[in-house]
Amino acid sequence: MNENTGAGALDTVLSKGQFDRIFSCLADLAAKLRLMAVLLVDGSGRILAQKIGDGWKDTRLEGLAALAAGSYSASNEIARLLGESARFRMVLHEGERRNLFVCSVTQDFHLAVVFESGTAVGMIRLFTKRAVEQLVPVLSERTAPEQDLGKMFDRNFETLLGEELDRSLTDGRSGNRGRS
Amino acid sequence: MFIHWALKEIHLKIVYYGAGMSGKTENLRYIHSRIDPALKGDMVMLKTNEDRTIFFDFLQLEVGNIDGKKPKFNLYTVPGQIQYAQTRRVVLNGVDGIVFVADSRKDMMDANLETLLDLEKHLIAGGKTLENFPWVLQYNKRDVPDAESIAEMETKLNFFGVPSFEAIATTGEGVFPTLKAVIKKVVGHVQSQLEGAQRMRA
Repeated sequence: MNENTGAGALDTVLSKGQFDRIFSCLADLAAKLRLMAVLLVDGSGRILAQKIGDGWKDTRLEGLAALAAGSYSASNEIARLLGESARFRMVLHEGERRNLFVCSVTQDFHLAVVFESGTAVGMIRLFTKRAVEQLVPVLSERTAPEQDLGKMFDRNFETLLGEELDRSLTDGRSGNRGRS
Repeated sequence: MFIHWALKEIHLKIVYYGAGMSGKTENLRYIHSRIDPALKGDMVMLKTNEDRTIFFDFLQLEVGNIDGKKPKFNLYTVPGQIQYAQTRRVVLNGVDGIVFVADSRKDMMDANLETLLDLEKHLIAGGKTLENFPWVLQYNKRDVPDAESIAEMETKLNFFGVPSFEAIATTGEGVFPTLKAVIKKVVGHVQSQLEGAQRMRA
């Protein structure tokens, strides 16, 4: 999973095959537990895969992912300050109607599960543990040869991105008073 | 950085770093207020009762389809106050590029430098340094009456000659040029890393 370019340029590359298996695992978990949503996120809050249940209307979960990853990372710092030698196993945010459960998959990835309060936390813990066991080997695979990454980031991409940034990030001001 | 082959997505994490009240959140607020709603998510702000950032602010931006690829930029701020050092470390996890927001007020020069050194400490813990990492400087609050001269700020903070921008984040001046510059630095950095790795293999 962690792409080693020899220079540490890339943190994570997810292949289509990996994504399909991860999504299948999340979909199974969501169906078994009737989850509102389940997300696989990395330590910096980026969503690798998500499965949203029927009861969830908002399909943009980036904010939730960032907060879930931040919350879990913060809990690890708390564990350290309390003298724990390992991370906390999970974080549970308990609401009146909805709960958020976050647990570690590997050191770099977390599973965030949104479920209704009627579902037993024990069930969530049991089935997420099984899902984690399926996800770990998938996330451990090496992917994407560097040549393909070179294609992803060729000079054409840099030029086109620059043009698109100029189009999208504009407020009509002229001049940037910058030095480079 | 995270590349999602199946969806052709490239995710980059940009962190706005700087001393307390230097204007990091104002940068994100301005960006959020000016971007096409179709290209942005909700802005998440975690604040104290005094309107100070306690954990981070977050905003995801997209810029549409680039040659079949979809770049997404996750923008974060860190809490600037001294007591939140551990929180800053958490937010820096997985960072791809940094905007260092320096406060132009003369009495903030020491705080700017202390914060820059704090940033380097966290980068070193992650195996990076300010010399080999993509970052840009923003000299914010250029409209305050006691603003330090740009020449002096360059001398005090820009040891490595990174791109720097004058800004007044509350009005938006300099905000987009800063953001564009850091994105270009990050993409250029990835390209040179990949090219370096390929040369080593050849």
